[in-house]
Amino acid sequence: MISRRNFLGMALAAGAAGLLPLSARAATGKVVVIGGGVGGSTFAKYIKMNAPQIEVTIIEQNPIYIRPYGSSEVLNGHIQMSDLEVSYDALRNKYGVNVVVDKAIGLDADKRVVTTASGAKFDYDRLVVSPGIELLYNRIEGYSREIAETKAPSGWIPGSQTALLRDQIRNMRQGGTFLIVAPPNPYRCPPGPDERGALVAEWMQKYNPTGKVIITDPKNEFVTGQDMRLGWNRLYGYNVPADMREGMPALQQHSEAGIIDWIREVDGGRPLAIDAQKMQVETEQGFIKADVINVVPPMRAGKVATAFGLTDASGWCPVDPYTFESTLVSKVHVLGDSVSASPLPKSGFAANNEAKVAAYAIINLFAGREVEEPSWENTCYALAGKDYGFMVIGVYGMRDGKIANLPRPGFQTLDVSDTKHRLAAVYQQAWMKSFTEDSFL
Amino acid sequence: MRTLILSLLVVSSITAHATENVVPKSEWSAKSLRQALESRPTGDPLRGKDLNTQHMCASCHGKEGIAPTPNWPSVAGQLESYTFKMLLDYQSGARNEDNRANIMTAVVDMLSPQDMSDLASYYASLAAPDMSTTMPPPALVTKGDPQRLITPCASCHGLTGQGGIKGTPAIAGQSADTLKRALVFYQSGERQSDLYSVMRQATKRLTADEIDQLGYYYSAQN
Repeated sequence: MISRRNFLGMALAAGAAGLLPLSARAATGKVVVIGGGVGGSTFAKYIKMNAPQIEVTIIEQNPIYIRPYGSSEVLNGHIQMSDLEVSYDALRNKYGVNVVVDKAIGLDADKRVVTTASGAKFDYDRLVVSPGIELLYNRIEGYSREIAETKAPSGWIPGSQTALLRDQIRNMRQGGTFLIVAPPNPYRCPPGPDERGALVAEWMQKYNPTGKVIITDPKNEFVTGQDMRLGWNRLYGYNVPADMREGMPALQQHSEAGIIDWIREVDGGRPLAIDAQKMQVETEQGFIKADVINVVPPMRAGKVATAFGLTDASGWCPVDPYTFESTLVSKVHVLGDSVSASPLPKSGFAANNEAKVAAYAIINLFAGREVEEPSWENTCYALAGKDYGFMVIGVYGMRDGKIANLPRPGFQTLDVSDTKHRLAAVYQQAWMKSFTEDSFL
Repeated sequence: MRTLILSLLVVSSITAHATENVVPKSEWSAKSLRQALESRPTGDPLRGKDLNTQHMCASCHGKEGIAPTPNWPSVAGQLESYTFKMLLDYQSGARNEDNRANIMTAVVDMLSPQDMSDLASYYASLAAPDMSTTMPPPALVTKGDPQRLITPCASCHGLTGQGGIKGTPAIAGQSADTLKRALVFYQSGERQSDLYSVMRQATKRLTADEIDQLGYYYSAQN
């Protein structure tokens, strides 16, 4: 158990840390965070910025964070793998967060102690669990973690699979097919699979002009759908299905098949099985052969959340929106993609906002003050190409005890001008930097 | 009026020496600027109003030209000629002092001279922001500092920042952050869109406190 200096001082004064009554700690306390992603890191930083006397320990498996947001840009060479790396140095040195590289494996919620793989024990007044997602590779017949790591990568949690996928795309034969198997709802990064398709289509225009991108989807719509389809139509020769043209501006009608195709559920897009030997995917409308297969499998809350009993039958974690405290295990809070907090999306932006709400709530709880009414916002930027972006913006607040979408000002009609798309691409790049800064630096 | 022109000339001649090496070739001369302004298409404020929304200008500068946050400048009530010149400067890359400027360049890239003129005339037709208080003007505004060869701000921008003297922009009621940013970027030379380096010269010897004070004073004017 690691004691920071100020805590050690208190412990010496009181005789023994373990015997220190809670009241003696007054407005301070001890928080343990499992997971150093956007949720956990933002939470730790904002606690320390606002209440430096609170002791914060992050338990994180990886010494360096690899950001998932924007990681599809590795696939087409916009950025490199190393651009995804974010250091924990600022959390440690600038904010005084105790970042421990270890794996949380046990929880005693009554005694409020977390045990790690190395055998260390961490006691807490409040535990924050922010583990991201677990990919359910086995939910699709013929697919597995092993196949994902060797033959048909997912890359939805960035890392070696992202690099493998990038190399497979680069080495694909001319005229080859890149197939994305899109996930069912809910999943991390709602516009992500379709943005990935667009980015690879953009790359193919230049390096593999006879190649094809196919997205096969168990859904009939996705976030930013209209914007994305408009972008595909303008950039990649995509024909918007007749029943989806309502409310859209003048579309180009392409006589030949474009680079990108999206097969919806109604058109038989639901994936049934993957055959990594034959490199084909069985869908409801038939078999699709491909040269590179990218599967975004179904997902649920990160493993540790499931192991600690924080999930319900949905596979996600129910929480009190005022504090993000689990409704299943007291004094344990859950943040980020693991939470079911609809209409908040499973995005980094939302995780960052949830972390701030939880940080202020916990500071208030430690100080014996009432928790304030929270509000949140979210922006998802997505690219259809390097200079062609768009965004969805949400503002959320409490209505009748539930998180609700609030009205907001906006200038984002579907086709206001090319400026919108150019600006959104500029903003997206700026956001990658400023968001990382706000969460980690 | 005579003294104002004189002081401007003094400043100009000083700067000709001081900044000989940093003046980019594309920099305006009084003549080329006058020609550009005279040959601009006549602006249509109604069309400008539409463009303000269509081109997302309103998302930072406000639907009525008043920025909803201090992060961005207000453009309501601005001199038509100044807005037009700024848009030209963003388009040419003459203004590229920071990422804010780069955002403008990305947008203005898509504007025609007619669009720019329409926007400029729309903003000029709006009432300038009113943040007025009864704060007395700092000496730098009214007297400048002859010791440091600093021209009084008021000699070009007016006592209350109304602008318009020798084509200078209105700065009254602009957010203090915006004004300070402009002064800092002129001082560092990162912003070079001033005719004959007048602002680069005027800011050269300002202290950080004075920049704060000037930003605060003009932001509080009507």
